[in-house]
Amino acid sequence: MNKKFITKFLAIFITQFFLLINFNNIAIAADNDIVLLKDFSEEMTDKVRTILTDSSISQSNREAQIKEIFFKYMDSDWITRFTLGRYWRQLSPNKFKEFKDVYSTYLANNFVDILKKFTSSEFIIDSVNKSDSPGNYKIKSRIIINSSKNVTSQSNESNTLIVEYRVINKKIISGNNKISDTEDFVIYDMIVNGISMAATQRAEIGGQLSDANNIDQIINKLDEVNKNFARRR
Amino acid sequence: MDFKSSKECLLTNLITIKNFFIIIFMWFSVTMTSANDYYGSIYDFYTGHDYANLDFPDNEITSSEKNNQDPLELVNRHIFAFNLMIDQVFTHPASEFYRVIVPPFGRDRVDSFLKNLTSPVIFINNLLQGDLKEANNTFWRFVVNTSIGALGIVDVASEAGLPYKQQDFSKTLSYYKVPAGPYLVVPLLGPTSVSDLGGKIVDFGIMQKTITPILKKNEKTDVDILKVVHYRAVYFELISDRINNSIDPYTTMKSLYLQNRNNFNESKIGNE
Repeated sequence: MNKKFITKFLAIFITQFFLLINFNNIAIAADNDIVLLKDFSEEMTDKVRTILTDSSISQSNREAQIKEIFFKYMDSDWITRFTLGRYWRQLSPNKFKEFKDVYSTYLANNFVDILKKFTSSEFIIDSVNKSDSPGNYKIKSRIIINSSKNVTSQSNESNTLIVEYRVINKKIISGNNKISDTEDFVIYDMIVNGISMAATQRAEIGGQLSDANNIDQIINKLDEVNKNFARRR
Repeated sequence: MDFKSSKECLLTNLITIKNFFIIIFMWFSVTMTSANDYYGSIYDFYTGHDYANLDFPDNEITSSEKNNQDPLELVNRHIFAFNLMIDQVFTHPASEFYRVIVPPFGRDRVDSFLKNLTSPVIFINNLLQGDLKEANNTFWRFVVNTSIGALGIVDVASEAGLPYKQQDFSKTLSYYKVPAGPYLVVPLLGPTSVSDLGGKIVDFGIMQKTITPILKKNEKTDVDILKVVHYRAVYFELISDRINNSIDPYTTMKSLYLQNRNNFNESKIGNE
């Protein structure tokens, strides 16, 4: 009886000990992440700032570079799955890839359209914080619109856009299903003045999906919008 | 004498119509689907989404949200199409012209002027929410901007540390956790909910009792037209982009409206 109790006690103690070590490791990793993430956000902001303010860059080149930024920093794969909800599992790998390609282009086109309006704006990173779930982070930033040069004019108070980036470190979150061995930050949502890009996309595209069979219709619609983007440029 | 009695008759009818709307509004607020709670749960889901968890527990939301949060979708979609048509024919060209002839500096002045006009609505709603500090700020903002700021054309008060903080009766209802009711698209007014529509009617009533009597009839019409054209110009790109770049502008506008509404509720809770 005593032996059984001691064994049980030791088992619990050892488990707790390893759990504690593990949590400490996660905490240390997360602190390192904050430093790395600050670099990540500064690097991204600098690139955006350069592309938008460099007058020597042609308009088409600028758009191409903004698209590159989108594909480099945004996790279009996750956004695609989030948008499709349960339907992504019902699609064949080929169909999923077809949808992802056309949808990512659609998102990138929207991103270009929005970002190129801020050519004379200021981009400020305010803070980088851990989120509740391990490996999840929030970058809080502001875009200060220069109303004298931009087309949209609003009073001083509304000249600032609050942009929150939801970022993930794939190395930490993947756990058993390891996705990446190195620090690999990707943005999976952008929340502008409280409006989530992922949520809006899910409502728009997901709302159209009555079943996975009409995915072709949606691919065609997205393709049409992409062609319109190309025609307008 | 006849004229007076017919005027009284008209007044009585108006009061009856007003009562009818109040009853309808209360009935809607109390008996219809508590969309506020429903939107809240979707918003929690959206903002609480976990990267690692691609097996979303709320997978069913995609199909159910469509029916539950928007029971009047069919009617709403028709009204949305009508509003879009009106926008393309009248408001869009007018706001485009306005943006061409009025430079950003001028638009900022118009913005300040229109915001100053809504001060009585903000003041009363500050009081209704028991926010005496903000009521005091709003009062002094109005006094300073109307006098020194030339009827609000120059926002002197903001520079003096009294920033503009928007308030309306919809937010007061939301503050007291009155259910939003179903999502609605109202002809000419656009996206709203039952409680927000009620809020707009009350705000209109406050304006009728405070600002409108000061204005002459033609001035009132001018201000109303200016308001529509100016705010369409402010959101010109956002609206135009969403209409042109969306595969379903109706759903996108609905999502933007609901998220914006929830965002206000969340921030209000956060401030408490």
